[in-house]
Amino acid sequence: MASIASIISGLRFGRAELFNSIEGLSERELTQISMGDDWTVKDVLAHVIGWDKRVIKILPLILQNRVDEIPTVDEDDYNRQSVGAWRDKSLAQVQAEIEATQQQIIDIISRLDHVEIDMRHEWQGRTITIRSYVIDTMTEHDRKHAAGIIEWRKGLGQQLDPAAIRADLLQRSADFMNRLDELDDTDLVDKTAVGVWSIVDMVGHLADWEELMLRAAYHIYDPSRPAATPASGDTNEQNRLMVATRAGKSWPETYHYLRETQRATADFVAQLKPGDWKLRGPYPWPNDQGTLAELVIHIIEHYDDHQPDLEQWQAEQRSKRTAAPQKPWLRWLFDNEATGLAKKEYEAAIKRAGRIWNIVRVMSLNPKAMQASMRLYSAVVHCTSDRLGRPEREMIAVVVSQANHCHY
Amino acid sequence: MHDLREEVDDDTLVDRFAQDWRTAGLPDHTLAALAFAEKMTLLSNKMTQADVQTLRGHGYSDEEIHDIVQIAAYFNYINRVSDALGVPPEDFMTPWPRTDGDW
Repeated sequence: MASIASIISGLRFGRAELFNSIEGLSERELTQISMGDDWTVKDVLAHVIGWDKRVIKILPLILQNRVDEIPTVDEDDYNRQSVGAWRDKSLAQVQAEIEATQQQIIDIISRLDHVEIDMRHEWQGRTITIRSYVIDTMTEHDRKHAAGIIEWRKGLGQQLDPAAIRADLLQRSADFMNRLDELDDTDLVDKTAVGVWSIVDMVGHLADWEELMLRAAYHIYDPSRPAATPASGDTNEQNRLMVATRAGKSWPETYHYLRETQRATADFVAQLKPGDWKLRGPYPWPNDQGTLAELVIHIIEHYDDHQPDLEQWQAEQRSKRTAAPQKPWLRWLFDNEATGLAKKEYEAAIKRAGRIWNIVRVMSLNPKAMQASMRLYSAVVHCTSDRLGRPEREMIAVVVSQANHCHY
Repeated sequence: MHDLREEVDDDTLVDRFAQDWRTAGLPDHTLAALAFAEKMTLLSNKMTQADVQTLRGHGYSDEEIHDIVQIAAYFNYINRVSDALGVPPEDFMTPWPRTDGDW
């Protein structure tokens, strides 16, 4: 039994070394930064899962003395498959799986006796035991990767160029503001310009997030300052909350808020010394931490997440404007064509509104309908009562037209 | 919108209204009338007596409720005329929504 316990503690030791080697890395460092070849740390973990799974398959065959049936694999192919299988899965899923596979193996081994552990088998021209196989494939393998990760971490951040990141930040912030400056009032009203958000919501969201990240940055830089913790672990929920909090804020307020936040970020970044960029601390979302440099990169990338929406909206509006029909689809009476009732109605329109609106003109082919329509309009809109004044009547008109997405 | 701007002195209120009438700081009874008009527009076959009762609860007279319905109905009608006949925006007008105009 003692020998089984020692194998298990060896397994745990190897895996702990592997986990320790990645301790404190940010999600971005774990999933996006190549370790020299194509692999990220997450890929290394996926690769380890792959070999764990092979161990789970092979152990019973060794135990039953059926080593001849162990399928041979091409290591490179096998690694490619293992890593590929986890590419689209999250880091958290990979981390959960690597714990699960190890536990499965520990469960298998703990059911063995000491004879089985050290029974010799001939496999591919060499003598193996379960003990030697497990130590070799798992404990030593884990430790080898742990050492590789530790070595890679020493160089991590060496290629960081604070000046470039800072320039990038200023550029992206300015680009975004320039885009905003091209907007006009009509762009700001559509409540679903970008998905479920108006442009104002989106800009408020950018400012809120930047402010949250900046507070996290202050804390990393000076841990005596309070940490920035989001109210909710759920990003969507968090976004909804933030947008709800800002609802009712005017466009100028929101715009100003983003500009001020950008200024604060720029000021903060400007005073960082080169070494400060490598300071590490918690990020303002769950289960992540990392360097100040990366946090600033997150701010930059957040603009990249949202600017395309804004650009697309602006392109759509531009094409709508240029494509807007300049003529109605039916003929209508020009001023000098109108006679009789049509003429009378046109004159009334000029008297009432100073001009003949196109919506009035479009009814001119049937002057009686035009007259009836305008009378109904006047009868219900041009009057006032206790709780329903002219402003309220106009508001109803606007709410209906907005709900119908109609420019009139 | 023009009419609204003419009728309401407070430009900030009009701006806020254009962005989101629900959060423009209007009194409850006005919000109730607007919500009624919006439901009428989007879900007209889901209207119930309770909707009318809600307006009464906000102090609207039957005459006023009638007017609310007529105004909302009128604009639903005229919006459709406009959409179906491709009425062009006024030459000074950016497409919806605009802040001028009385016809």
